[in-house]
Amino acid sequence: MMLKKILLTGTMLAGFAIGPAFADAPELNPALSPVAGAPMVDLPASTKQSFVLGFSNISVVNTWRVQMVEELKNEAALHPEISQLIISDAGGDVNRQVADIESLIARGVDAILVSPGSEVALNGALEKAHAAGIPTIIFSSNATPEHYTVKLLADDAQFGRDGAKFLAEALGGKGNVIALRGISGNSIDNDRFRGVTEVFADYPDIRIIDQGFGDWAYDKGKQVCESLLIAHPDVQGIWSSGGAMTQACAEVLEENGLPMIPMTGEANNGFLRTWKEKGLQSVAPVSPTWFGQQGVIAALRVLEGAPIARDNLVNPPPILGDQIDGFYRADLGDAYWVGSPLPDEKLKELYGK
Amino acid sequence: MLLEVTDITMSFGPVQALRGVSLALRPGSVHAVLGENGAGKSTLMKIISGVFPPSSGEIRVGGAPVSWHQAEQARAAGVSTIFQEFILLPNLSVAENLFLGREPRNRLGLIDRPRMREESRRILARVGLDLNPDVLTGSLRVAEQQMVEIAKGVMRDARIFVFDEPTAALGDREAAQLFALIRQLRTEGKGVLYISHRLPELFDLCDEVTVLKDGQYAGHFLMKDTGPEELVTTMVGRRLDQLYPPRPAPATGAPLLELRAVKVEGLAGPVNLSVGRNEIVGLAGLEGQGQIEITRAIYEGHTLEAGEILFDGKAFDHSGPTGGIAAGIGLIPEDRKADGLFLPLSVARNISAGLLPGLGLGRSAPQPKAEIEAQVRRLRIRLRDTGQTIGELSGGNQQKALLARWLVRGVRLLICEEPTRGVDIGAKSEIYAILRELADRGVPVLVTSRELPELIGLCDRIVVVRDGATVAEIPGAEATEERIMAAAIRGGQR
Amino acid sequence: MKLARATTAARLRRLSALPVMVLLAILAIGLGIASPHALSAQNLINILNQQASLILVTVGQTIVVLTAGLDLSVGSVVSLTTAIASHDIPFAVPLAVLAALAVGLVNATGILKFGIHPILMTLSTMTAVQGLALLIRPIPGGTVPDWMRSYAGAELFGLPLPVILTALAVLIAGMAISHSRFGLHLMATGASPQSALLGGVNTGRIILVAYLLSSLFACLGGLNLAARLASGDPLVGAPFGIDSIAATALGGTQLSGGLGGVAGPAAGVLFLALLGNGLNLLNISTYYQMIIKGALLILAVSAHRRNQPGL
Repeated sequence: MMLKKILLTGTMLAGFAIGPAFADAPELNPALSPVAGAPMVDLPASTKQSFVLGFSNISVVNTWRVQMVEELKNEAALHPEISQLIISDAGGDVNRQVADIESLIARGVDAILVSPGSEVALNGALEKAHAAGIPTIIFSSNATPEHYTVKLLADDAQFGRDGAKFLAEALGGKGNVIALRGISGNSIDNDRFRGVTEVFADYPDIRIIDQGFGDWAYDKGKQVCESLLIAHPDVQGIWSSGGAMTQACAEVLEENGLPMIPMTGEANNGFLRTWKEKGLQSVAPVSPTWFGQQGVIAALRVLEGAPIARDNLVNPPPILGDQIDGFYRADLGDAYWVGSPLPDEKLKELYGK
Repeated sequence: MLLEVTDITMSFGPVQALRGVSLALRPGSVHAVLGENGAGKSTLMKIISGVFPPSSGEIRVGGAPVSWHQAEQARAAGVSTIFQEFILLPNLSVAENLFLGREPRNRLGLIDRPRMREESRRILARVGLDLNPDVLTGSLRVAEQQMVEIAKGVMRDARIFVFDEPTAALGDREAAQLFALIRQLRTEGKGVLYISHRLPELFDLCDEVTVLKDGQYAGHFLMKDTGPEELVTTMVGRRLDQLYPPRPAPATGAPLLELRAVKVEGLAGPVNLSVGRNEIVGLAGLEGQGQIEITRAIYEGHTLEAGEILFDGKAFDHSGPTGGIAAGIGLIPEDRKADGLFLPLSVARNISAGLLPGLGLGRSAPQPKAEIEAQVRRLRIRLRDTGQTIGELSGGNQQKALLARWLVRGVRLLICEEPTRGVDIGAKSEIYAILRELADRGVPVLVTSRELPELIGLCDRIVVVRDGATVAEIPGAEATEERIMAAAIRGGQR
Repeated sequence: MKLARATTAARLRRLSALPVMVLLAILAIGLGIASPHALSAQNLINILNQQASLILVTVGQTIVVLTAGLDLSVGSVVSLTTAIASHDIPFAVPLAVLAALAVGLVNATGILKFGIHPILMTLSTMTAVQGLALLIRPIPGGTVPDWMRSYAGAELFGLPLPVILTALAVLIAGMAISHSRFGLHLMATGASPQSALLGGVNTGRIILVAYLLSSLFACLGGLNLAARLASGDPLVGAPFGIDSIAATALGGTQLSGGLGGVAGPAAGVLFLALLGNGLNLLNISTYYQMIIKGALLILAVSAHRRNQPGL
C-alpha cells in the first residue's frame, strides 16, 4: 500500500515535470469526500492537449436534472482544454442509454460521464468502455460494473438522517410523526426513509404513526398530507421526502387552522420561500445538483493525472433556519435548486420570474 | 328441383322476419324473388346462402336436406351468392379474391402464385372477362367486381346462383352485360335466384317469380302469364292505380309562391315558377339539372343571384333558412338521415325541433305532448311510443315524422325533395294522401323526384327543369313519361 | 371485355413501404454529410442492436394492425417479460412466454367473444399487465441466466447475434405475410371481416392468432431486452406500445387494416432511431428532438395517404 502511494506520487511528480501540469487541474467541491478505504485512480495522464468528453444522461425529466445538466455544460465551457462535449439524452429509456454509451465509445471520446438510469442495465456497456480504455465517471445515481474509473454519489440515507435528527431534537425525543414519502418503490425514497428509521431507532419515544406516498409532487402531496392530518390531527411532527410536499403540508396546516408543527423540507427555492414566509420550524437537507459539474472536474483530473479517489460520497450539511438568507433567492422561481454554481444570467434565464 | 325451400320461419328475437315461406328453383331457370323493403327477401337469401340457419323449415339441395350455419357450407354445396354489399376484398388482387380460402400451395406451404394466376385467367375467360388476375380488385368498376364474383361461383362449380339486387349500382350498359352472363348461366343449366324490385328488368330476364309480403309467401307466377299490375297488387295488397290520391279540378286564384326570372348561383337559369294555394307542383328533369338547387334557393335564399322570389305576393329575407321558415316555408330534404333527422334522438324531440324559436339558446325545446301525439295519430306513424329513438323507425315512418315536424309548426308551404325515397309502397300511398290533403287545406306542396311515375301520379302540374332553367310545364293529367323526357332532353315550348 | 389497369395488388403492397424507405435513405445521406460518424459501421450496428427489441415488437404490432386491430398491451408484455425472466427461478423464460401468450389470448377473447374495441381491450390489459409486472418486480434489478447474457454479447460474422436473429424474424414474418395463406387471410380480415367471413376465411381464428403472435413477438422483444440489460425493469416497455404503432404507421401499414407488410414498419423503427441518434450527434437538445420527431411523423404518415388508390 505504502509502496503504491509512493509510486503514485512519483507518477504525479513526473506528470508535473513534463507538460500540462495537474497543478492546474480543477479541484473537486470539498463537500465530496473519498469513501473510507477507496483506492486512488491510477490511470496515466493523457498525452493529449485537448479532450472530447461524452455525457450519457438518462433524462431531463425534472428541474433537478435540467439544472444538473446545465451546470455540467457550464463547467465544461470554463475549460479550454475541453474541445468538445457530446451530450446524449436517453429520454428515460435505459435501452437507449446503452446504445448512447456504445455510440460514445464508437466515437472514441476521451472520457465518458454517465448519469445512469439503472444500477445494472448499463454494466455491459460500461465494461465495453473500460475495455476500450476510456475512463468512465459515474455520478448522481449508481451503476455497478466491475470496472469503472470514478464514482461520485450522494448518500441518500443521509438526507433522511438529517431530517430525522432535526425532528428528534425539535420534539425533545418524544412524539408522534407522520412521514410523507416519494414514489413507492423508488430507490432514492427507500434510501432516504432508511436513514429516518436508523435515527429513530435511537429514540424509542418517537413513533412514525402513519405514512403516505406523495410522489414528490405538490398536488399529490397536498392530498396525501390532508388525509394523513385528518386521520391524525394531533401529530407532533412531519418528515417529508421532498420540499414540494412540505410546502403543500404547511398550507394544509394553515388552511385548517392547525398549529405549525416541526417538519422537514428540502433545499430548493420554493421550500425556502415557504419556510421564510410562514416562519416554519424546519431543516432543509441538501440533494446537490452539482454532480454534473463535479463529473466534468473529475474527468479532467483523471485525464490530467491529478489525484482523485475512485469512490466519492457527497455529504453536504443541511440548511438550518438561520442560514436561509444565504441560500434563498427571491429573484428566482420556486423550481430553483439552491447552491448552484451557475452564473447569474444563466440562472435568470432558467428560473427568472 | 335444384333447390327446395319449404315452410321457412325466421325470428330475430320478438321480430318475425319470415313465416312459412316456400320456394322451388328449377335448373336452367331464372327465378325472381319480389317484395317490398322489409318483406323478408334479404333474410330468405341469407338463409339460402348459409349466413344464418332458419328458425324452422327445411332446405333441400338436389333433393337432399341440408343444415347450414356458415356461408362456407352453402358454398361447398354449390350455392354462390352475389350479395348486395360486395364480399370481394378491395385490397386483394382478383386472383387472391377468387381463391380466397382455397389458395393452391406449393411444396414449401406457400401460396402457389403462378398456378393461381393461370387458373384465374382461365376462369375469368369463361365469364367473358379479359382481366389481369393480379389487378387490385378495389380498382375495378362495380360491374366488373360482380362478374369476378360470378366467376368465383363458376370456378367452384356452383349450381345455384343468388343475386341480391345486382343492378342497384349499375348503369344500363353494365346491367346489359350482367344480364347476358345470367342468361349464359341459365343455358348452362344453372339455377338463378334473382332479387330485385325493378319490375321491368324482371320481365326482361326472369322465367318465374315468387312474391313475398310481410315475411309471408304471397304468390308464385310464371313471368309470361303475369303483368306488372298483378305483381304490384300481390306485393302491396292493393292496385297500382290506387297508389295516388285523385286529383281535384285545376286550381285558380293568385299563387302563394312565385319565382320570377330567378337565377341561382352556378346555374344558367332563368327559373319561372308559381305554386297555387291548393296545388302540388312537381319539378322534373334529368338528374342534377338544378332541381335541388332551385328548392334550396327558395328555402335558404343565399344562392339567389338575380330575379325575385315572392311569397304571398311579398319578398322575404333570403339570408338563410330562417327567412324561409319565418315566412312559413318548410323543407323535407332529399337526404333525410343526414339533413333532416337527429337520428339518436327520440321521435318526440325530432318532431318538436320544428318548434325551436330562433336559436333557442338557453331554452329547452318545448314538447307539447298532446300536439305531437295528435300528429303521430293523424299521420299514422307506427312506433312504440314517442320516446322511441327515431333511427329505429322505418323510412316511411321517419318521413312522416319529418312531415309532423312542419305540421306542428303550422307551415304554409311545403317543399318535398324525393318524398318517398327509401319508403315502402304501403307508406308511399299514405304519404301521397297526406300531401294531397295538405294541398286541399291550402298548404301547397312543391315536389322533386327522380321517379317520373310518382310525379305524374301525384302532381297537378309538372315543371321540367333543364340546365337550371324551367323549360316546360305540363298539367299532371296530361303528363306522360315520354313527354317529360322529351322536354327534359330537348327543352320545349312554354 | 378488354380492360387495362396498372395497379396490381402486389405493386400496391410494395409501394406501401416505399415512402419510409425513401425517407430513411434521405435521412441517412443527410446525416452522413452532417456528421461523418453517423454512418460508421459501428454506429449503424449500435442502432440495430439497440432497436432489435422494438423491431420485434413492431413485427407483432404490424400483424395485428393488418387485421384492423391495435395492440396497446405490447409495452406491458415487454415489461412483464423482463420482470419474469430476471427472476432466478427454474423455467423463467418458458414462464415468460406462457404469460405473454395468456395476454394475447385474453385480448383476442375480449375482442372476439365480447365485442370490445381493440383499443379499449388492449388498453385494459396494458394497465393490468403493467400492474402485474410491478407486482413481480417492483424496482428494476434482478439478473438473467448466463446464456441470455452471452447471447446479448455474442457475435456472428462481426454482427451481434440479436441483430442477426431479429433480421431473420423480420424476413420470416415478411415471407409469411406476403406469401402464405395466413398472410392473405390477415389482409382479407383487415379489409372487411364480414366479407372475409363470407368469402370463406375463418376470421375468428385469424384474429386470435394475430393477437397471440403480437404478444409472442412482444415477449421475444422483452427477452432480447432483458438479455441486453442483464436485468428486469417493470417500466422498461412502457414506450413500446406507442412507438411500435408509430413505426407501423410510418412503415406504410394502414391502421384501418388490410394493407402493409413488416419491412416498412421495421424501416420505420430504424428511421425514428436514426433520427434520434443523428439529432444527438448534431447536439440538438432533447426538447427540439421531440418537436422535430412529432413534425416528421405527421409529414411521413401524410405522405402515404396519396398513393393508395381504391382503398
